[in-house]
Formats: sequence, C-alpha cells, structure tokens
Amino acid sequence: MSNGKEISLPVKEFYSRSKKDLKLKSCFGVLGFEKIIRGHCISKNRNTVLVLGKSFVMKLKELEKGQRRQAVRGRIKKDTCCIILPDGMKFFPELEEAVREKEIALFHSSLSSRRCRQILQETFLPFKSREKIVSGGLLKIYEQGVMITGDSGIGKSESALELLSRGHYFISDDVVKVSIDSRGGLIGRAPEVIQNSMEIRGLGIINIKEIFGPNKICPKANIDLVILLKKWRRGQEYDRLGLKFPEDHSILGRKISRIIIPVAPGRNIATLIEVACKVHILRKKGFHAPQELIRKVDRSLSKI
Amino acid sequence: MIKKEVLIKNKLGLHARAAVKFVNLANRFASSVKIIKDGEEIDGKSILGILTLAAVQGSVITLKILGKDEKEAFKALSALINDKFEEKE
Repeated sequence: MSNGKEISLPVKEFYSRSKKDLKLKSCFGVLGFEKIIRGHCISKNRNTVLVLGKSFVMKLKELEKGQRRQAVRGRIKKDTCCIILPDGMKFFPELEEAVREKEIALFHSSLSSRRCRQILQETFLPFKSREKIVSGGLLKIYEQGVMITGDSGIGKSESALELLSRGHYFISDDVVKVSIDSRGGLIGRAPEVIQNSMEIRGLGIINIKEIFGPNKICPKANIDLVILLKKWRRGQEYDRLGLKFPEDHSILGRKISRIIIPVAPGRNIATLIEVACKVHILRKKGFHAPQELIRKVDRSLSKI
Repeated sequence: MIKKEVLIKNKLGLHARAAVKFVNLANRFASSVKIIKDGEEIDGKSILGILTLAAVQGSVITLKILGKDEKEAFKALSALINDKFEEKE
C-alpha cells in the first residue's frame, strides 16, 4: 500500500520484535544492529530484509569460489539492512566475508524462506490494511470462532441470542473488527463502542454482559468458520449431500471456510449452526460423512 | 447502484437516535444500503453498524445503495441527513 506509514526500524529492534515469530538467531552477535530499516513496507522492497532462498544457495554451491563471491555481493543491494538465512542453512565463508565487510546483520532461521517472507509481510504491513470492519456477528461455539453473516432482518442476532442461551460465548453482534495475527490467522473483536451490545428487534439494545454474565463474553476469537444465512427460495437448489461445502470465503486476503444455511420457517437456525460447527470440526479431523456414505453405497452396488 | 457522498450537518453527528431514524427509514426499502466512511463499509440497516462509524458533524459518508428502489431510497435517506435528522441544529 502506497499510502501506508513509512517505518524506520533499527535492525536491533527488528530482531528483538520478530525473533520469536521468525525463529531468528544472530550469526555474528550484534554485527550490523545499528542499521535502520526504512521504507513504506518491507514486503514491497524485498532487498531491505533479504531472505536468501534455498535455490539461490544451492546454485551458489555449483559455482567456483570467485564467481560465488561475486554472486553473493551482487545479491546484497545498497539498501539491504539485514539478511535471513532460512531453512536452517549454514552460512558459508563468502557470505560471512561480505556481511562483515558491509556490516550487515545475518540471521539464521529454522523456518522455510516462504514462511519467512509471509511473516514479514504480515508483521510489517501498514497497520490500516491489516484491519477491517465486517458485517456479522461473532460467537465462540465449541471453541470455534463462528461468524454469522447474512442480510439484515434474516435473524442473525436472534439466532446468536438462542446460541448464547445454550451456553456459547459472545464476542460481537452485527459488526466485527477483523485483524490478522502474527501467525496469519484471522482474529475478530467487537468495536469498542458497541462492546457487549446486541440489537434485537422489539427489545432494542440489550447488554449481553449484564444478562448472561461476564464469563460468557470473550474479548476476541480466532475466526474458524463463516455461516451465511440466506432466505430459502423456491426452485433454488441446495446442497443435499454436503459435498460442495465448505466453500471458500475471503477476508483480508485470507481464505476461510463458509457454510450457507437456507433460512425458512420450521428450521431451527441455532441448532443448524451448532451442528454445522460440529461437522466443520469433524472435517478438520478428517471425517467426512457424505464421502463415507458414498463409499458404502458404491460398495453395496458393486456386490450386485 | 447509486454511490454518492453526503455531508453530516447536524451538531451531534450520527448519534444513537439519529442512527435509529436512519435505520428505520433504510429498512423501508428493499435495496441494500451500505455506508462507507474512511474506507470502512458497514450495513446501513444495522444500528450497531452505524454507531461504530462515529460520524461527527462535518464528516463525509458515502451511501452505496443497490436494488430495485435504489433511487427512492437514496432520495429519502439523503433528505433525512440533509434535514439534520429532523433536529434543530
């Protein structure tokens, strides 16, 4: 993002801030720690924090000594502030020589180069773009953060209320502030102004903390599943086997499973959401009921 | 789809009672009503949504209305905002 805040971060601070996430270890003590990383965002300019790929290092090994030296020096740009050697790779004499001469910090990381770049991107993206307001309610059901979305008036808050009275936990109603954590997961919180509030037609604004007690409120939750409530339309086909869901839903560029539940009289939405969660948990564990059934049917058909 | 900017003129901004008026009016139309402020988009038919915007006097919001009756909806909603939510100041 070009409108992001420009950062200026000493390498020393970069190291202390991200050594846990990136599993960093400095190779040569505090060498190069006084350099300052500047720029709009690290991910845009890959040279500032240089992550050496495995393929690059492999290629180096095939070269002769003089060529290797040149290749390493060519890779280190003018604006390079520190270098990360991922995949637990060992440094080699030419690299040591180059960083000692240019006084650039060199870090070991046990993570893959891809994961390193990913974490760098997440951690150092401009703050604004890492947060988004999303319409929908957020509850914690069986330790799963479940976001309930759908058009207004479809009964999101009413089903959330029913789920709360069954003992599940409340995070936010109608509006969720979504951000990305250091591991790349989506986290949902209630915007400060409307914390603990819920709006129910006919009752007005109610305070969940006062009604259900403070232990039923969670300040935040990882979002694991999105439920979309949709009006049941005659003639429209719905997934009967459950082979199509969950489809992917995207928030802040992260993919997340989504289940569409058609709403119609006589369908208890709260129960359906509870069961959808359990189905989702089972699928994450590898149990897939429709495939199991299809296998059984196929087996019985092949006997004939 | 109609997407137009509107200025909040009343002294108290989009406060709770003004939000209720807006939501009640928006719910009379079949079209979807979204409000965009500072790049955040919220559902214009949700009171809690509007309250999170914290739109004070002088802030500019964008109404994004989509549906069969979008023209009527925009006319009515922008009139309500321009009329300072029927408040004196």
